[in-house]
Formats: sequence, C-alpha cells, structure tokens
Amino acid sequence: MLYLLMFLVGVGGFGLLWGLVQWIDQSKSGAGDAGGAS
Amino acid sequence: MWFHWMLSLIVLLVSIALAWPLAMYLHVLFQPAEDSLLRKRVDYWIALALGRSERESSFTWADYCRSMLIFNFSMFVLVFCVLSCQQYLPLNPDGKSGLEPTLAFNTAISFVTNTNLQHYSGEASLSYFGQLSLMWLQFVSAATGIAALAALARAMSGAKSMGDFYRDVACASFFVLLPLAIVVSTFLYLSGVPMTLAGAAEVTTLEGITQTIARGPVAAFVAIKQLGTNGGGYYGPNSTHPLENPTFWTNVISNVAILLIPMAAVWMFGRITKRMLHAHVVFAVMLVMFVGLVGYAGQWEQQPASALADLPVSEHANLEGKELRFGTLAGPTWAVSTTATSNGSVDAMHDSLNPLSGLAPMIGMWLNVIFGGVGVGMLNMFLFIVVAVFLAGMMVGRTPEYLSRKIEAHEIKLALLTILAHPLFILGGVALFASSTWGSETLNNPGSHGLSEIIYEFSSAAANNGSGFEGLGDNTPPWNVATGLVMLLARFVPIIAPLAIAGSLSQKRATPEGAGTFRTDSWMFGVILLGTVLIVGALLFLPLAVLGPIADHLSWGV
Repeated sequence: MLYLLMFLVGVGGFGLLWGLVQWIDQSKSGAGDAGGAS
Repeated sequence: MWFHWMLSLIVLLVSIALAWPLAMYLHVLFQPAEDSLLRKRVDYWIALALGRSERESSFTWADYCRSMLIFNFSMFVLVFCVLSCQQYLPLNPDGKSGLEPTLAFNTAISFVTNTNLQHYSGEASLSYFGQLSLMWLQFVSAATGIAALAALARAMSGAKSMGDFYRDVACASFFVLLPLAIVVSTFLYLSGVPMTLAGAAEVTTLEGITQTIARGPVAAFVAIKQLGTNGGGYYGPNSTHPLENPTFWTNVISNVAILLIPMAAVWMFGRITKRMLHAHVVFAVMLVMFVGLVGYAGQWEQQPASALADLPVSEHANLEGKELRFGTLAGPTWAVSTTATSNGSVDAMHDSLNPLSGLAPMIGMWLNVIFGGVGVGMLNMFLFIVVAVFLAGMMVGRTPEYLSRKIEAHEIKLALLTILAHPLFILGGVALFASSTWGSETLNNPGSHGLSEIIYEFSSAAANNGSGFEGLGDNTPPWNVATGLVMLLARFVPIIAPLAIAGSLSQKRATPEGAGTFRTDSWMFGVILLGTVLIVGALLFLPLAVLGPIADHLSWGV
C-alpha cells in the first residue's frame, strides 16, 4: 500500500510540472512557440 | 605550502584545456540542423538507431518540455519498480531485498533528477541490477541537462526549431557521455578500481579473520557519476572509498571529469549562439567565483580543527575526515568542485570541514551557477543574465535587450520567480525540519552544527547536488519524501522556465544592435552579472549562513 502511495506522490510531482508547462504556455503573452512548429 | 595548491591548479588548468575542444565537438553535435552537413550525418545515424524518421521534428518550447517530462516520468516508474522488486530480478548474487517504499521513491527521484542524494549505502542495499539501473539513469539524466541547454542555445541563436528532445538525449548519451565514460572508466580500471559482475569477495586477513569485500561494476559507475555531475557513489563512502578512488591520479582525473562538461557547456552555448565573446565573459564570471571559493575553503582548511584546540595534538591543517593519500587540500578543492557543479561526490567528509570551510560548498549550492550541473548550470546562469540585463537596461533607461531580443515583463517575471523558487525550497524545508521532530530527532550534533546539517541536506536536494554533510540520520520517511519532492521540483522548474523564456524571446523580431545597445560581451557586463549573482545570493542566504556555519565557527571561540 505504501509503495502505491509513494508511486502516486511521484505521479503528483510530475503532474504539477506538467501543469506548470501548460500554465506558462497559455499565460498572457502566449510566450511560447519557439521557432514555430512546422 | 605552494605544493599543496598545485593540485588545485592542475585540476583547474587541465579541465579548462580539455573543455575547449569538447565545446567545439558539442557545437558540431547540437548546432541547428540547417547550419551543418556534419550534424545531418549525425542525425542520420541517430535516426537509424532510434528507428525514427531522419527528418527532425520541430518542437515548440512547450512540446520540448512535455517530451522531457514524459521521458523522465517513464524513467521514474521503471526504476521505482526495479528498486522495489530487486529481490525478484536477476543479477543479485548477494540476495539483496527490495528497498523500503519511501527510500525507493527518494532514490528513483534522486537519480532521475541527476541529484544522486543517497539515503542508503549502495554496496549494502542494492543488487547489481539495481546499481546498473541507476547507472543508466546517470547517463540519461545528464543527457537531459545537455539537451535542455542545446535547445535553449538553438532558440537564442534564432534557429527555426528548438529541436527534438529525443534526438538530443540520444545524441548526448551515445556521442558525448558514453565515449567519455569509456575513456575515464578504462583509466580507473587500470588504476585498480574493480570492474566485475562476480559477487562480493571473501578473503582471509593476516589476522586470520574472514573479511567480505563488496565489488561490482565500480569503474563504469564511477566514470559516469563524475562526468554526468551525478555524484552517486557505488559505495556508501563515495570517492573516499579506496576501491572508488585508489590513488592521487584517480583523484585528479575524477576531479577533472567533474568540471569538464559543465565548463564546456558554457562555450557550447557561445558557439551555438555565435556569441563567443559573451560566453567568455560568462565563463570568466564563473571562474572568478570558483577560484575564490577554492581559495577561501583551502585557506580556512589550513587551520587546525577547532575541536582539537584544547588537546595535546599538533596539526598543521585540519586533517579530520581527509584521505591523506590525496593531500590535505584535495578535500576542500573537491568539496568546492563537487558543489559548484552540482556533482555531489565527496573525497573527504564535509561534516569534518572547519565550519567556515564548510560554508564554501553551501555557497556553491546556494548560487548554483558556478559552472553548475551538466547543461543546467548554464541554464541557471541564463536566468541571472536575464535579470542582470534587465537591471542594466533600467539603470541607463533603455529597453533591455539580450542577444538582440527585447526582454519584457513576461521574461523577467519567469526569471525572478524561478530564481526565488530555489531559496523557497531550501528555506521552507529547513524551517519545517528544524522546528519539528522530523529534523531534530535525526541530528547527531547539537546547536548550530546540527542546523548546518539540515541546511546542507535541503541545499543539496534543491541544487540537485546529492552530497551529504553526514552526521544526519536521513533515511526516515519524512526526509525521504520531503527531499524527494524538493529534488523533483528543483530539477525541472529551472529547466522549464529558461526554455519558456527562450521560446518567448525567439518569437520576437531581432533588433539590430546599435550604439545604445548594452553590450553583453564586455567586462562591464561581467561585473554586473557577478554583482547580480552575489547580491541576490547574499540577500537570500546570508541569514542561513549566519545561523549555521558562522555561528558554529564563533561558538568555538576562534
């Protein structure tokens, strides 16, 4: 059970980082299309 | 006396001399695809190896970050499972059982994030399969750092694409880290470091006692641990162990390997952006801080240990916790190298350094830009460059520009928030653990020295360093979970933010440089950058320094 909990803590940590990328990407200046996708 | 300083000088000069050609090589591998025929040939071989289309995918900064997170999350899942179930897996001749859940979490995150903070002793806790899994992470986590810097440099060079994360990681692993690791591990093997998959050796000593000597693929492990600024030792005592670091020359080569790629990364950035003069200035700023810290730590370590002041013992320098086969200054030189570059390996006990010498490695981790980790050191410095350019622009009343792109509110907010996240991880953790039994019950020393141990642990986790002050019983669930989360966030936030800034800047129209442009390749910019790093660092961390190492020093009455 504790193994599952620790695994979920890791999932949560990476989820936070994923959310950070999404948040910056969608923030005001829409800063981010470096180089533009082709 | 001067002879002792020769070791530091040799390490520094050899590292710089080797970093220059390595930077040229890195430039060939990571420059924008449209710039080089040779790079296209390299891409062909990587595409062949990965079974992917030779045509490079064109990633936005966010796509690049998402690929990085998916890749690293996959590594976490895989290694967490391996460490938890190693009793059921092969290559386990000594019958090691799975790690306790919080320790498995901490260890997997630690190696995924290139930190290698070890709350376990490798030879006692891990099977060969477990050790080899971690060694694999030492390659790919270091490659992630190189890839991120390459993407940043390409964006700042005005390239059409930020690149392909998977291509960059494969390139850094197979064409940079693997060849270098083969060279270094061969040298280590020839110098007496074990390299075998046989189980522990049992020998009978001269006294007739049977002794068990742990061994394994140590030479391969140690080579990538140093080159990738990983730092996690095969053995618990790390590079103080005679089977990891047997001679004076293995010590020198290991120390050079620590500095090599972080130094080359700065020049790689300069070559890709075609701003070598700017890269020289940044390199000089880092070098000044590095030499200053080595000199400072070495000087204080020439004082006898305070603990021996009232004893009938004669010491010309602090010899506690040192491996004398390396010389007395090897400890402080390595301590600064390993913490400035976020490596984390040790060849002396940092807990035994004189209090003010022990402050030097902490400063290295607090600033985290003195060459820094593989790739990420320059990413961190990029944030300070953005702030320094902004400050300089404000002082002369002009719109700040960096590499012909205007820096505006979005970029400066991201840079400052990321710079502030680093102390938040450290100070928040220290406050929580110093005021609760989670920290106090795990200390082996009272007062300010005990506080220094807590400060060091969180600094090490937040800087993705991984070294330990020791004297701390850190293999407890609260320590494992807290430092695990700090390592994870402190690794990827400072990668995501610079890439977002570079993505934003590369979208802007390039402004031709004119007479009013503030030059970033002048000595004046170097002074401003140095001042920015030192002042911001002092404002954020001086209270910690006073409460920890400085109070510890003053408490000895010296």
